[in-house]
Amino acid sequence: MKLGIVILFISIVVQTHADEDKMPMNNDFINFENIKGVLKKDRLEQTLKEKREADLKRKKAKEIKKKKLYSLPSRNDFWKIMIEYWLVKNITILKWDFRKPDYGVGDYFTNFLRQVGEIGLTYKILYLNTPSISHFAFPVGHNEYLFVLSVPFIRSLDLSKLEISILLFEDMLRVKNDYFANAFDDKMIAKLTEGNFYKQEFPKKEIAKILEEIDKKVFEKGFNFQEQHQVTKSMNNILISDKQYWQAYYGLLGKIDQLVKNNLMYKNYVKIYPSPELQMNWLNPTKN
Amino acid sequence: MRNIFLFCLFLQSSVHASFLYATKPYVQMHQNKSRYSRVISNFECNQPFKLIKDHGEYLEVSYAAYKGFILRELVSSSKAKDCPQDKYSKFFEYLQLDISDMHYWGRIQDLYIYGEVNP
Repeated sequence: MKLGIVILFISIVVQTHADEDKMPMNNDFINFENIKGVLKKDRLEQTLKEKREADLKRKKAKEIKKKKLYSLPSRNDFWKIMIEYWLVKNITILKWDFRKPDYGVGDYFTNFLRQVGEIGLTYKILYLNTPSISHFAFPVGHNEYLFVLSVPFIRSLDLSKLEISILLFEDMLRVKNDYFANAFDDKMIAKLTEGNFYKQEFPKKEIAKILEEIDKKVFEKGFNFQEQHQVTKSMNNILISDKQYWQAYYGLLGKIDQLVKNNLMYKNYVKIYPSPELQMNWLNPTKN
Repeated sequence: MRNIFLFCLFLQSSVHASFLYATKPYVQMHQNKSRYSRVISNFECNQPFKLIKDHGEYLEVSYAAYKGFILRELVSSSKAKDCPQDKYSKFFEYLQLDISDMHYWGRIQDLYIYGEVNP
């Protein structure tokens, strides 16, 4: 009996394997080639394609968004960021964190600018409690100016609001003529602006170089004779229509000339702004 | 009835609550209406504040547990579009400002004399 059962079992197993061998290779139920038509009819392929495209689009958008995070500033924004960064980094030298005096310069300067036809602009003035910079203007955007002004310098010369305004205006003309921005290597500025540093190294060295160059421009190099001559001529042309303004400008140059000749603290002034004496000569009404 | 009254109160408070946003890279909130008074905290550009009271040159504002005064020039009723932290986030991040830099970047905004010459 037991033997009979074993034989029956073996024969069933053998039969099953034989059936499998007989199975056709192109089974309609498992061959997807044969049901391709059905899938097409169901738009499954189309849906898959659409999903893949949407996924690719999403990935691209994500990449663009990520790339945008690595944008370099526009030229205007670059100077706005770098100048403030430079001021922050140089606080110990520039000594601008002090209780600033109220000379009432803001409103006066605004009116002065309007009088000389400079409109549609914004400005910021920062007082410094050091003679290391007497006065300087920086570009910080389109029609935006940042002035730094030394309080010891104002006090040494006992400057009036009009004289301060004229001094700032002269600095503003230097910015307008791009004398500051043109002092920097254009290739280096281009590397730091108007682009992107995605998957690239951050231009750290170039940033450090820019800070060094600002130092040099402000503390050592200043402006050349040609630039000074141009600015003085422009000042003359603008202020000549108002006798009070013109005389104040001429008087201011005289005051500065005396200061730099007699006060050692300001001996470097002529390196930055050459030179008040020459400027007076260029303006001299008897020569004109 | 009590619920309606409470709802009206809520509605009134939400209508009057106006928000201001920091418009400079960093701004400082002061204890009093003076740029030289103690700094309560330093905030980043586009930080929203709830306006409590308008004091002219200064605005009394609050944010979370902070309450103090901010110079009018440093905030706006709409979000700033030119915050370097937003516009050039990685560039600004790579400048690697430390706490002291952030503090002074906020401090300098307080000390500027702001001017505008409109046509």
